[in-house]
Amino acid sequence: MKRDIFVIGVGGQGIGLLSETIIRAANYAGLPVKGVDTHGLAQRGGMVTSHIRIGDGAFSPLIMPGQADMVLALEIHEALRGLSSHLKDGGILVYYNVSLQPLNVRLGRERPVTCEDITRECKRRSIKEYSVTAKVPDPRMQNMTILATLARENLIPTIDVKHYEMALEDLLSGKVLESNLALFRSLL
Amino acid sequence: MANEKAVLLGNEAIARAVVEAGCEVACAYPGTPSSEILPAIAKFADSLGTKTVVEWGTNEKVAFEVAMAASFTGKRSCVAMKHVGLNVAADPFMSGAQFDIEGGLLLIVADDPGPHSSQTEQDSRLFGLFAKVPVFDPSSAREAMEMVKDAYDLSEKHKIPVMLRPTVRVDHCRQDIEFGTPIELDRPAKFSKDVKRWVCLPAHVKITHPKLNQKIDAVRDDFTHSFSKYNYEVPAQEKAKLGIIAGGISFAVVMDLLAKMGRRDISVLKIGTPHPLPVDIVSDFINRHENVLVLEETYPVIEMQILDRTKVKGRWNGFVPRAGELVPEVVEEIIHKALGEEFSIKADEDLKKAIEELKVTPKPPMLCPGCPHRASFFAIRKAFPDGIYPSDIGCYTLGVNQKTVDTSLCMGASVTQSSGFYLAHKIDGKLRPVIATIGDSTFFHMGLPGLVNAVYNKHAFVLAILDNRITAMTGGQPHPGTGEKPRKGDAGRAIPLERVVKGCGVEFVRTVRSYDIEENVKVLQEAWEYAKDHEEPAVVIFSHPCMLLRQEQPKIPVRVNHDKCIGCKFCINFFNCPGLVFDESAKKAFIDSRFCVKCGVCLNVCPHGAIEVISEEGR
Repeated sequence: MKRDIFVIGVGGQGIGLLSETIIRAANYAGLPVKGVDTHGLAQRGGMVTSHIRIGDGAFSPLIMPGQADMVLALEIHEALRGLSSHLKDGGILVYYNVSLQPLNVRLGRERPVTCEDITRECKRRSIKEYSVTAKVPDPRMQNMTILATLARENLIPTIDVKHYEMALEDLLSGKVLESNLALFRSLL
Repeated sequence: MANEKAVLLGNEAIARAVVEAGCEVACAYPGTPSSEILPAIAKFADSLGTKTVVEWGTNEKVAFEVAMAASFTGKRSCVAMKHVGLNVAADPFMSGAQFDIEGGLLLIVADDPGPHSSQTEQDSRLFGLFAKVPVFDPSSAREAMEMVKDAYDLSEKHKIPVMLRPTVRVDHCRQDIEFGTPIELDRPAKFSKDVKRWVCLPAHVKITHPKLNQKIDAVRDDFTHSFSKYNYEVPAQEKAKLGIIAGGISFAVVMDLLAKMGRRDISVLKIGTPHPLPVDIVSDFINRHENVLVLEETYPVIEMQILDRTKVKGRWNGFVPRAGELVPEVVEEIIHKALGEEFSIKADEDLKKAIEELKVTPKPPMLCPGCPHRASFFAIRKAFPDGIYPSDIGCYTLGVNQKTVDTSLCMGASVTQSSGFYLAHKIDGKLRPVIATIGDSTFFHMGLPGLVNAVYNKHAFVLAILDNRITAMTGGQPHPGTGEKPRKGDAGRAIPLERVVKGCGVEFVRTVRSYDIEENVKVLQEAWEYAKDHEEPAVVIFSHPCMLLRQEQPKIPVRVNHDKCIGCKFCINFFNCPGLVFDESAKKAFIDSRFCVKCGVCLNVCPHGAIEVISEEGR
């Protein structure tokens, strides 16, 4: 079992938690795993990407452009960016179907990316697409919808629901853990 | 921590190994990508109940010297920093190499090829060569852990400080790590007086320098014969067309690429101990290959130690780019080039065009909404529109967006460069206001000597210390101004900035609230008048906690009145808040509610009074 997963977002979306949960869940499932976040000035609004490499034989934590088996994105523009930079043809795209429009789009000077654009691109490159929509009580919990999709669709074989839950229990506590777990379970 | 395995960050794995190796004194100054090491040492020391002392030093030189003296008494000690931190600690590092130390001394220097968040991409392995200090260069977090323990043993065997040089991809890699058991060293501090050993008089250096050369020869011998776990060959399965010598994370990248490319005709020599280079191993490898490529970050340190470079391609001769990180896509191209093979990246032109049209480009970094520095910079510019603004290293370097950062050289240089600017203009008899900005942690780090110098030599300028009660840029570490310490139950003492500044001999010292722009403009002008009249520096301490500390503060919702907004963009250009944006088609500014934190500071910004308070939230 080998899976190279590329996660993409901007600071504050919970990319770090999402990728660390997957890394820990893989570890609980007994899979070798490596990952690295690149976050330069993320706290000040910069881009965050995370590379996760599950399975034997990965030396470096870095995934080559165009070589990821799966791309996870928390927003539609990021989905398109991850799709173009890192996903290989025939791979899997999981993205949260919301558009945090760049300013130029908000001002009507550029056309927004729509889920039709994503679907067209995925068809052309034989990419399996999971467009996730769910009501979340707090935008910071959108990452749980991605995690629940991975679990429900068994997108990373060997990692079970319980492994994801164990990982969440490691990383969160108190009320935050409760609400995240509740959301995760409700989407399975 | 009772469990035997855990997923750790590379820096946490290194920290775990430091505690397991019996380190009793650990010091550091924060700096990306090294910052997580010291807090993790504190965490593991807490959970394992060791006596390890864990401290943030005022700067890297301080941290180095504290750790080094502990090693004089037989204790194992450790000092961690980022690559540019070693520039600050260069003095004790260079001298320290010549001492016959007693307890193992491990220097961890995290390099930042790229760079991702640094002012240089210098290679600390070269510093190891300069000081004649052995260097370990890990290619993974697990290997770094093992190297920590071997470094301590090597340090004690040869009585020499040893450097571990992880790069950002090792520091920030997460992987599952198996814990070991901490060794228990029963070593009461024992300092045996010995002038020849502990005092670096020139007469002693005549003995210690040749001895250091002997030590390095002996270490080279060890690296050649006893460290095959770090220096080994991965032979080609067929006749090799190319031999690659790779160190650090570049080795990991090469191994991934060979698998991906399905190459059986390339052999790899991994070098985990780049200084002193095990020359015999490397020469033997080169002799057996017609075509040799060296891949290392970021300087040609392995390559430069190869005596006959006739067959060698690398960074020295520019075959490998002489700057920048060796990410997989770059290395793949270099390998093909070294093999003399055609290589083109399959680019999808359609998609590339679509992406360009959509302009899904990442946002440049800015100060956070509500950041007190933004208000301080605005007041500085308003007080002195034609001033010179030397600045420093920290979040506030982003004041460059507000055109209030004219220079940034290195830690502490805001103060000293102000002296230089003052003198240059004074000679011509035409003074210009000079207003320097420096953070609280940076002021303690290296601002102090410059301030003493300015008082002593009578230099007139205004020093604005931006006190946000935290070392913000590196993730929020404490510093002498806050008084907190990393280990549980360990308390330090906070040193008030104002008293320090007065103690340096500064007569004009004012502490102001960063958000009070109008008031602060007056204080700054007063400060400059005082400085000019008395020929001495004046200090204004701008005080407001960092937004990352998330302290409660009044919420003041605002809006832009479009009847008053004339579209001059003054607020965009000189306030530069993520919450204030400009609509190019309507030629008006507006508040972006996604980012606005309702600090209310921008109320003082618009020259036309277009930014107004709204009594209730929303528009």
